[in-house]
Amino acid sequence: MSSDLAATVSRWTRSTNRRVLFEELLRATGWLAIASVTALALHRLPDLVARAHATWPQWLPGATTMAVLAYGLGGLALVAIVVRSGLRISRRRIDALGMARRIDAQQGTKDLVATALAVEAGTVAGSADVQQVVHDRARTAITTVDRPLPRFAAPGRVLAAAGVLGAAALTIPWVADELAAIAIAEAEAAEAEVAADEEPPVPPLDEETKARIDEAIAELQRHEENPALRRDAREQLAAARDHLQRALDDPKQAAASLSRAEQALRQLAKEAKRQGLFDQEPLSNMGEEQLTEAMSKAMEEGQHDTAAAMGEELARRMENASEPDLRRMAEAFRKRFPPTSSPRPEERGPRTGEDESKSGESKSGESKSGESKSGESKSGEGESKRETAEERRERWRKALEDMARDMERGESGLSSSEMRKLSEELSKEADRGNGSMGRSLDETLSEIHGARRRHLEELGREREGKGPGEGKGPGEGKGPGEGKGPGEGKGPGEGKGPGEGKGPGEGKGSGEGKGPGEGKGPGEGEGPGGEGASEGEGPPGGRPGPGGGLGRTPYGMGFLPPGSISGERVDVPSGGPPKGAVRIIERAAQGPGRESEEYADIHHEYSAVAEAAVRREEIPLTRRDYIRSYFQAVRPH
Amino acid sequence: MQTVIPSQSPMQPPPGQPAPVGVMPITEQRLYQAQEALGGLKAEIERRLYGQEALVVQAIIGLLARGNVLIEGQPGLGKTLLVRVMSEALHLDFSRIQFTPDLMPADITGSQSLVHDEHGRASLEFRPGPVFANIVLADEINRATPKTQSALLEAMQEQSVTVGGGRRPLPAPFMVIATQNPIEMEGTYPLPEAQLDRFLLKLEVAFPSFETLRDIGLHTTGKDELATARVMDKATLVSLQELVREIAVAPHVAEHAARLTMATHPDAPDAPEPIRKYVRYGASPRAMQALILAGRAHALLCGRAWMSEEDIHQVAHPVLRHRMIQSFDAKLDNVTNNDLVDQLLATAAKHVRA
Repeated sequence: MSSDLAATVSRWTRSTNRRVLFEELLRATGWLAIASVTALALHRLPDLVARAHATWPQWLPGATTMAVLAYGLGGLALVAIVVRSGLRISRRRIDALGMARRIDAQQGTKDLVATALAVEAGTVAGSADVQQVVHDRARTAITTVDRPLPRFAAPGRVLAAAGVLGAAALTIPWVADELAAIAIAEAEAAEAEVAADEEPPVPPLDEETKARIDEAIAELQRHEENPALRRDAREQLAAARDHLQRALDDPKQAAASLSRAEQALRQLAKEAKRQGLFDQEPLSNMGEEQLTEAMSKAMEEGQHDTAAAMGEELARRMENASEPDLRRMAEAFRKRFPPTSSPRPEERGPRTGEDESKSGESKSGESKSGESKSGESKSGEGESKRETAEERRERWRKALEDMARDMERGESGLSSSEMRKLSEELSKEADRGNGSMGRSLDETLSEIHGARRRHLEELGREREGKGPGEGKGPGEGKGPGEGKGPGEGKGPGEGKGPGEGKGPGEGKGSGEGKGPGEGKGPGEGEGPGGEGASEGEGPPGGRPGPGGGLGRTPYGMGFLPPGSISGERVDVPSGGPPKGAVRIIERAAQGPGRESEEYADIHHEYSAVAEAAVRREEIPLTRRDYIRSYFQAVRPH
Repeated sequence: MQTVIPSQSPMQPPPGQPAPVGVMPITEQRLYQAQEALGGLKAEIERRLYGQEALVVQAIIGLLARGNVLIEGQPGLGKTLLVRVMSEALHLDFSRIQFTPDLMPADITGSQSLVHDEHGRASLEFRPGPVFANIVLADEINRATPKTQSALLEAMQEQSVTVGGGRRPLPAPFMVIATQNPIEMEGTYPLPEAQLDRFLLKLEVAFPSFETLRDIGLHTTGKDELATARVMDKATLVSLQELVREIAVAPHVAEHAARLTMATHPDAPDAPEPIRKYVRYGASPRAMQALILAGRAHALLCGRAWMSEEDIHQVAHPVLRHRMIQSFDAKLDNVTNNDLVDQLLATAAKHVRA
């Protein structure tokens, strides 16, 4: 039996399979285009949003995550498309029997062609006559069959979707630009309406602020040269000094740099509380002459804590020194601590045990003679109060002369003991805040803080203080923290009264609370800064000031023990836009907890960075006030 | 089941007088004549039996396939009439056996009797029973005892009976059409599944429609009784039965029948979920044979020399419905074997499309 039927059907089968392959490749191409455009859109979406000057929603992942997401999804889609296309092709491909069945279904011949193919293949059961009949019938039927290829089924929806997405991909950047242009136009219009909101150029640091910073730099540099300083403390001071220098060099970064310098010193303060500022290790590497010189210099400069550290080291060495070493040290002492011209006891024999006991007695206040040693400093407050600073220095110098003599005589124990007593007295003097590095750093920190506040106020005044209608807002008033700050009284330091914060919009601070820190404090204290409770309200036509000045903490800047000042919480109604952004002001209410210090650090740093970003116009115009209001609302006590 | 027989074949009638079907080689012409003859038979039966077209076609399929048919239906639906009209139209011997509990095998097969000739000599003479006919109607077969049923079933299977030690072939063509009443089952002896399998087809007689019922009332209650015309002789019927077995069956069609049969088994991989749930035992290989044989007859009835998958679908219900043994769940859920065959065919159709 001829196999022309099978040849015809096979030819049609191959054509059909080629078409299937083409259709599926076309479909896959469409899907690939869709996947590519979608992935690209995901990747570029943050850029497009930025290009359109729109705000990227917070609940969406960031640009990097979006890129990873886009590439991940794109890869998955690629694999899925390839697999799906392969499956579809294999499913849609047909063999000769499938083609015969398709022809039968198309012609309504009920398996005639399929059976005829089997007849040609010789696989049909039945008589030869019947097979011939079937084959003839099939050949007749197939002549009436038009080419049985199915109509070309282009994946219209897929291609259309790909086309739409492609067109969108081409159009969206243009639309984004248009949107950006619209946004810019609106922003310009808004700026025109609120002309006072125009961002002025960053003003340079004023002279007073510069002077404060210069002074702080010099002070820090001086402390850095202190040989007794711990290495990490020295590095911390250097970092703070660098920040200060940067603030001078770049006014745009001044607020941030000052904040960082302040933060560095606060960090140093924390560490100093834990392990002190000094370290014996660098001192142990110094020679006796160097130590003596350094101690002499420290005493001259009033660095009592440094001098005490040196004295401790010298005392340790005296104790173990040999006679020649003691003589050498005595020589150094005479060189660095020359004898004074003031009269001194003429006779002074070699020290004995009695002398030592005398020396001990002098602690109780008996030493009125010129032999009064360092122990006299412990003779009671009444006595020390009567002694002036000059008299005290003179007494120390005499003690040093005596030590030199003791060393010349080879009395190591005596000289060592006297040196220890002197060191203790110097140390106590430093603890009283007189001549301590901590005290000095605290003042420097305060200076930096003041400089930063002044700079921010200046910035705020540049930005907000202009325009009519400034008035005193509802935030004016007295809040917690009013009172006499530590230091006022009969302490050796000078106390400063509580500060008044002044808001940039002439909002008068809510602070001035009265705190329990009143009393005798060893150092300066600054009262809580007043802060504008809310925006001031101006007369009609005017714009309310922003309120919210910067205040100072109600206690020392960190290097000195804080006082205990409590306050109370005051809720001040907000007024003026933005409504609800500023509602509650809590002033210095919780006392000097360390958590507050940390929070204050973070807040200062972040607010400075945010303010700098605002000033660099990185924040859209319409969002700047929100940011300022936010930092105002979350500012520390 | 609905069988469509084309009123006009795509094959053109041959010129001249048609020759007798039985002696012609298998040609287009012979196929045409066969279709014409079968069409005439069908029309003649339908003329007497109103509203049972499907039943008539299936009965003819059973006849062409040399199979035996079990008909189930309520009384009065025309079961006996169908058999009688068919035998009259084919001019075949017809006998009817009313099965009762006291019916004995010999009452069916026949027995040997002592007979005296004119010389007074006695001898045993075989007196054939009613089974010796071309078409035997075993009415209410489930009312006889299993022993009697077995006698008939042996005759169906062997096409012969054994009486008195001698085997006596039954006349050809031979066909048993048994009937069963699905109601009043009390006191009956339902046929075992193994014996049901010997029936090629199990037909169900549906209750006629309103219009059919009206026509029955109009045409069958008059004074004149309709006579049945003879449309085919015995020789033609036998040649058609032989022609059925010549119908071409392609491998893919046989595969389809085999797949369908396999799918009736609940543990088969291709079995649909209802089969897994509701069938305890599936159809036997004899069912697959029955599908192809009945499908061939259906193809011939449609005037085709080849069998298609559609032929299998057309005969699937009568072939398979009595060959699947349901589980208890099927009875609880009121699932019939017809429902299960529908599921099988739906699954098979999906497979064919794929």
